[in-house]
This record gives sequence, C-alpha cells and structure tokens, in this order.
Amino acid sequence: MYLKESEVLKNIEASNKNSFKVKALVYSNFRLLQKLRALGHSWVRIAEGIQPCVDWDVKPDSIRAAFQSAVEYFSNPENHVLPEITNEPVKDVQPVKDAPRQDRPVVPAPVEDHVSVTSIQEKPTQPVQKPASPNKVKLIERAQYVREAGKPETGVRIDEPDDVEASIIQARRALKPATNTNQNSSDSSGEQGANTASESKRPKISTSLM
Amino acid sequence: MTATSPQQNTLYISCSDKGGVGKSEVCLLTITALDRAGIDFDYGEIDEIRRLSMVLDEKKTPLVSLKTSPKIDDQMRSQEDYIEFFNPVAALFSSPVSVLDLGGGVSTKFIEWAKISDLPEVLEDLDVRPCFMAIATPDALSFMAAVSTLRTTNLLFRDRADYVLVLNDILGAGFEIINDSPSMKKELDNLKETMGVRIIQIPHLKANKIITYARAYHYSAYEAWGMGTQVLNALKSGDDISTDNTLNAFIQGIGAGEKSRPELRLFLSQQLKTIGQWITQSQRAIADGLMLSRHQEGRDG
Repeated sequence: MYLKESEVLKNIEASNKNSFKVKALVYSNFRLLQKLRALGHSWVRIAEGIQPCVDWDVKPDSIRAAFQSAVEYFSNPENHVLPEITNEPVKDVQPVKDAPRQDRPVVPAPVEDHVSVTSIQEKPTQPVQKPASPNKVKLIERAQYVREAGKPETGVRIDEPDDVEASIIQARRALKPATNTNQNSSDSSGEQGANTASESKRPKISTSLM
Repeated sequence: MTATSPQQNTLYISCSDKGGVGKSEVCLLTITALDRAGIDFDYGEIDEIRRLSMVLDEKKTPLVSLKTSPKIDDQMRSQEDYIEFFNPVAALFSSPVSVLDLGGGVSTKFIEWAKISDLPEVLEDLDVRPCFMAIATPDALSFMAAVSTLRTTNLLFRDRADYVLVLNDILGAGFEIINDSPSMKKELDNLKETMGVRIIQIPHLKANKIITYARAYHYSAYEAWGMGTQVLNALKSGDDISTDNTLNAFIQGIGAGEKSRPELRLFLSQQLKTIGQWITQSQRAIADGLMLSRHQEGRDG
C-alpha cells in the first residue's frame, strides 16, 4: 500500500493539534486529575467524565500520557506554579474500594471542585515551558520595524462621521415640499461607475462612514 | 474583562469559523464606531473575499490584506506556510488601535499560527492587548462555534487578552433563545464567570426594500446604506442618474423604478431612516461593549 504524503502530513498536523489541546487541558486541571486518580478512577472513566465538559473527543490514553508528562513537569521544583505537591496523602480523599492500589498516585494534591477548560484563568499562568519560537523574534522585529520606519500609506483618512439622525431629518424636510414639484430633471451627468449590480461583479459604491 | 490601559495598543480580532454570521458586518460597525468616536485606527483582513477593503474602498486602505485560498487546508501544510502567510499581520501590532477581520475558516488557522509564533508573548512584549470578538447569530450551532473559538483562544492567551461574544440577530429570532435554553444559558454564564467574556447584542435589522435588495446581492447593511445615500444625494443635488447603470439597477431593484424623482427622494429617505437608526444603535452597542471611551480617555490625557 502506498501512502499519500499530503494525507499523512495532514494527519500529523491534526494529531499535533489534538496533543496540544489534551496537554493544555491536563496541565490546567492537574490537581483535579490527581484527585480523581487518588480516588481510584480509571483513565477510561476519567476520560468519560471529561468528555461532556469539552467539545472534542477525549481519549483515555492521551489523557494518561499527558498526565505522566505533567507529573514529570511539576516534579521539577522550578515549575511549581501550582500549590506545593506534597508526598502526604490528602486526608479527606477516600479511595474507591475496588480500585487497584498500584494505580493510585503517591502524590495526591489539594482538590479542584470541577473540571472545565474554561476555568483556566484560575490555573497556573505558564504550565508548559517550551523553547521560544524562532518566529517570535521575527514578529517582534517586524512590528518594531513598522513602528520605527512608519506605516505605509494607507490612503485617505475617513471623513468626520455624519450625524445619521440629523442627516435623515434633513432629508425628510427637503422631501416634503419636493413631492409636489416638477420631477423632470436631466441636467448634469453623473460621474459614477457603470458597473452592473450583479453578484459576480459588485457595483462600486461610494460609502460615507458614519 | 481586564480593561486595557490607555497606553496599551489594542488589536480587535473578529473571529469564528462559522460563516454567514456577519463577521465583516460587525467589523464594519466596529470600524465606523471607532471612526465616529474619533479614534485613529488601522485595519487588516484575512479572507477569501476581502470585503472590508471592498466596502471601504478609497476611504481607507487596509494595512494588511491577505487573500486566503478556497482550499485553505492545502494552503497551510507546514509551519513555514503558516509563518509565511500570517506574519504580515505584525504590521498591525504597531498601531494604537487596529481591527483584524478573519474570514470564514481562518480563525482556526490564525490560532494555529499564534501558537507556533508564541503570539501571546509577542503581543505582551510589544504592549499590544488583543480582544477576540467571536460573532454568533442566536442559534445553537453558531453559538457553540463562537464559544469554541473563545475557549480555544483563551487556552492560548489566558488573561493576556479580552474576550467578547457578539450576538448578531440576523434572522430576527431575538436573544431570548439563549436564555430559554438551559445549556446555552449555562454556557454563557460560564464564559462570563471564568473568562470575563463581555456580551454585545446587535439588534435585528428589519427588512425593507433596500435591505431585501442588498441581501439578494450579498451586500452588507452598511453597503446598502451607502448605495441609498448615493442615490439620495444625487437626487438632492439634481444630478442626472438615468445614465448610471449601477444606480438605476439599484432603483429598479428596490422596486422604485416607476417613481418620480420627488417620490423617490421621499421613499429613499424613509427606507434609509430605518437603516441609519439600526447602524447608529449597533455602533453604540459596540462602542459600549468594547468600552471605546477608554481610548478616548487615553487620548485626552
């Protein structure tokens, strides 16, 4: 079987994207996941618990892998943006009776009340440390260049806005006496474009910003 | 929502991957609201059909105008593709106030580029605060698409951005549908509570002859206003419009081909009044929701 390169690349990209989402979710809700594991819930059950809270497919294996990565990450003292992870078990946590003992983590941590991707503002500000993107430097340099060199000419500035209400009232006043006057007028010819109003070729119109 | 300090640059980004929710219309209203408030700004657009520059035309040219391919997935295959395509957006980071219109399907790609580029850190270094404006019509599908966009951007930018949900009542269904739906209401409350999302409601524009014509040709209400006023001004100044195909097509299209010039003036005036009032109302809703007065305060001192 021959694989189509573009198809494989597309799938890799999708996979990378999903991996980022899972990591962000797990790192942001690390303490809650620790608690759930301490309670003896399996990764399958945890994934099922998370699933309705987010709008994408949550796979137990992905959550588990991201959790292991988070454990390694937070085990580094420099990365302790969360409250301290202690080796003391949480006293008010009651493990599930039938849960396999070996699945329970050794470092249960304080408790989160709920799981939600929207609660990340309460979470560590920089859970994932990664090398700075080379593009970051490019972007900053580009923006600073525009700041220093000046922006390119962006055309005529917008006219002062008209007062819509006043303009309408004025139009109405002008119209009232005009309804009974001579309607024939074919004086100076307009200079507007001659495009036809069609969906394929939209007429060029003069808009006055309000 | 954290208020931007007057010294900080602000980048308003209109987003949502759902098409037909009025992203460009909201962008136009934002631009005209800024202009009305006397705030100097720049704008950019990333879209297959570059509508903003098409409408604003010679009034103001965009600082960034990127045309996406109809097959945007094929256009963005590698990180280098993203970087090459989106990096010109950086020109907007030098503007005190700027507006960026992301066309249908572009939001996801933009966020991907933002992730590749450490954009939250870049903007923080440059003292630019982004404000993501997710646009939705009051229906479950577009509502959830906008919510998803806000959540995704929040995952990346966290408290380094502001978040706004713009509910655009295109169909006249009203906004009650959200409060009446327990799940949508819960979602909305959650967004407000956890992300400080602000809500802007754009009222429904009731269809009249001009609006019906405009919609048939995919014009925005703002463009319809522009066309109507152009004809009205031509009539008021006594110009001959019989030779102008565009204006004649417009007059025929709104069913006023048989009217005399004075009758046409009255008719247009009445029709434009409704549109003008709606534009004013919508601009006010946006100005309040985006707290545009803070820019004014920043300028004043």
